[in-house]
Amino acid sequence: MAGAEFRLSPHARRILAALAPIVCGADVERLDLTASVLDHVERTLGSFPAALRAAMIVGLNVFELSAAARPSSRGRRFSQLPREAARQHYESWWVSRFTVLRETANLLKVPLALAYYEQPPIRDQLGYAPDGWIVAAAQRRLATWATEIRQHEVELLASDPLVSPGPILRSIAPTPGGGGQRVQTRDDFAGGELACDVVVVGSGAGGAVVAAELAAGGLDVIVLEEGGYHPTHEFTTEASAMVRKLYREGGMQVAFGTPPISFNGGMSWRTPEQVLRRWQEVEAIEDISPAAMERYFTRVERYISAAPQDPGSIGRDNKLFREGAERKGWKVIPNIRNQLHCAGCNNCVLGCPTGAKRSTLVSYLPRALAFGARIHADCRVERILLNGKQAEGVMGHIIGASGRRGTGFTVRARRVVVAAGAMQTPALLARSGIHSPSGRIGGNLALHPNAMVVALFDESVEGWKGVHQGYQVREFQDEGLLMAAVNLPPSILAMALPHYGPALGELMQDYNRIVTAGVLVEDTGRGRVRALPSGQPIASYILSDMDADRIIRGTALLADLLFAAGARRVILPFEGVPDLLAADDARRLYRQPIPKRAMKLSTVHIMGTARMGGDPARHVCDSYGQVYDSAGLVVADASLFPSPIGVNPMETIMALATRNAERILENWMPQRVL
Amino acid sequence: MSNEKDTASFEFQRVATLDRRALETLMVQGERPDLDALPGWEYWGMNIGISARLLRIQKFIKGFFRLPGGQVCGYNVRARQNGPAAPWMAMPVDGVPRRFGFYRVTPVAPTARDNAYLHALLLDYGQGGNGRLNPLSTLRDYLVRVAPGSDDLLLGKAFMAVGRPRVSVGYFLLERYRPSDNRLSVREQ
Repeated sequence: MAGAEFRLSPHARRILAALAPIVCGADVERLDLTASVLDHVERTLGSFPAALRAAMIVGLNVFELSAAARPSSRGRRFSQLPREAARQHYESWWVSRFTVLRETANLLKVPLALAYYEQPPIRDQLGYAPDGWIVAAAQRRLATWATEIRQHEVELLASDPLVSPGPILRSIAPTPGGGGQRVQTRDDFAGGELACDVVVVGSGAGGAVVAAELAAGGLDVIVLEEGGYHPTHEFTTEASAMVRKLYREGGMQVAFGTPPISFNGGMSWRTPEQVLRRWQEVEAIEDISPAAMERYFTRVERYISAAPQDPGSIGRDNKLFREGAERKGWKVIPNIRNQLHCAGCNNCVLGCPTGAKRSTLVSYLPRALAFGARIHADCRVERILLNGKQAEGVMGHIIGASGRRGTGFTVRARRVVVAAGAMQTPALLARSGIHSPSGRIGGNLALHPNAMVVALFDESVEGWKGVHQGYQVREFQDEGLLMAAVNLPPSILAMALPHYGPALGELMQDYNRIVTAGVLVEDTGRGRVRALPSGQPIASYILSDMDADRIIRGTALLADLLFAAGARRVILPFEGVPDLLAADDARRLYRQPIPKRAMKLSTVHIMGTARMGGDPARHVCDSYGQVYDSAGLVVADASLFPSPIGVNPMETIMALATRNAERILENWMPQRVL
Repeated sequence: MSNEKDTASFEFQRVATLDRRALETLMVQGERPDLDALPGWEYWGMNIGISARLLRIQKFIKGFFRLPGGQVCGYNVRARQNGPAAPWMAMPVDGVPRRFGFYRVTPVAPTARDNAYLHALLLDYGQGGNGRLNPLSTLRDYLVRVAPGSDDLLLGKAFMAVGRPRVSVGYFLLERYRPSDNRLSVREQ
């Protein structure tokens, strides 16, 4: 999402200009990149949450002033110190025994490292040249697979309603090319009042599916998406710009944020059978056995083209990952992804520049448009409109170009489908005054915590030439552990590495010899999403001791795999734990205590905050997403999950959304009924 | 279906001893009774908990009937307050009951003022023709099934309409026990 207009003060610029060579290395001045880096930092900070940005500015100022307290500074502030003295001051914070100082030093590093390693001369230095590679790969793809691509597009728009049309549901034929229909943005929509059969909040894996299925089923559908509309041709390899465009609050909610319509690594896995059985037996969800879900998975897989990767799209990093697993005798399988002859551009999470990744942007949303759905981007829904307990629509406002609040709108509808993600959905329900008899709206938050390791090899890897997560290690799935190789752009990697300055630069010179890999944990810990007085969500989560132990185990196993593949050094996500230099080192991780606060974790799977089930005293929604003790209100996103599922959730979300849409169609009546 | 009987079932007695939290869970979980299964039956009833003590009315009888136009309605009959273990006996004379406190029975409408439990039946005394000045016209009862699929045992929660707000009065239980005499007196119609 575009950030608000933010400007660094001259004072802040002065401090950051003094900090840049320390964090980034001397080349920032030698190559005259300081001004460009600071402009980049300004844009990045502008996209951060206001509270975080304010905290960083305060931290920057405290850092600046605190230098004067050092005896050697003789009363001079940080930006007034000679270079070596300034470096020592920063180092003193970087290694401080006080967490707040260490965290602040790292926080100050983040935007600078991100900016520096996106400068074109630095990308050239690292040998990172994805743009030409992507153009060539895209051309090869089109030359080789043009027929199959066209055929898939035709199938995507074929009339195939979930429920047969009849006297109530009108039969509708798709309009080729959407009939001129396209996503409406803030430039097209002046606000005001609209009306439809069903309004869908959110255009991600859940919302887009519901919208397309309901539109193809003959209903008049409006989709409201808070994020902007960014077609395929806008996707670039400039990581920070894409993060600002596509991620809520500049990616600083990536641990807890709502994925926009294109954010996704693309893994397409059915819900594990034991999870479906548990949901049926323990959560009393109707008709959710593996056999009952088969037809929904099949339908989704057809529309998103879920398939293994073409061999030519697998990069060296993933091949090394597979080789390491095979040498260990571990079960490793090709990832099934929503892709149509992927070109291996490795830009998945920043937007696929070729359209090969079949995100909702290029699959379900075009289908929805073709069947007459109206899709509005830049529209934030503030509240669900209620008449008693009957949902009758939504109201909100358009988001202006600078992120400011624009004109208001109201959409009247007979059904409201909320698919805003597991953070925003409970917040929307809460600020709309919806109460669950279970009292569990926002509760049951599960995250699939991720830990990442960075492995250095002697051979050339060039992980950016090849698909993101080509394989998964499933050897330890029964323990709730999955592993995959995940190449990161240099700027993102530099942000994450526990180094700065020359040490960081030295590591980054080996960028093309690096494999980054992650372990995902099917968590037992739970958290909660609450709505602040402003209506914005805030999450709290407790990492359980069991999950912390499994993170250590998963990291040790991952390091073992990478050494088996030939790594010479593995950098861990544990603060204060030295890098590993041999496989035996990995085993010592089990013997040393690693506190939870030392673990650098992230998540991209957020689930469970409006859990579905058969008991209104325990669940927020029924077996088909209808919110208990309400009428005409359905949830269709990962909020529905009663528990984490241990695999990538996209296909589960889409299958549940398909199922919920089918239910809406089956029960559609001319008059409003319960 | 139940035949006429004298005393409450074991399940009735068990539910009657549940605490407020458990009763509320049952209210939330309960299914909507079958509206068409009620007319023609009388249920013995018992107020549970503090409301019984406050109202000093523990035992009562409720009956259901259908008007010529199809609307389902109901009534109350006073019962002898002879303790929960003793048989229910209508007053003034069992077999010649005096019906009062009429109500209309409908599924709960989500847009209505009285919509506390969307999955329940609403017994609306305000629509029972009791007269605006009759305090009984302020009552609103919700009914759900205790056991899935069975209308033999129902759990109710009573509210009093105090202007626009609704004040919870307490819970009650109903158990089907005999066919009702659907013939209402002219005065009762």
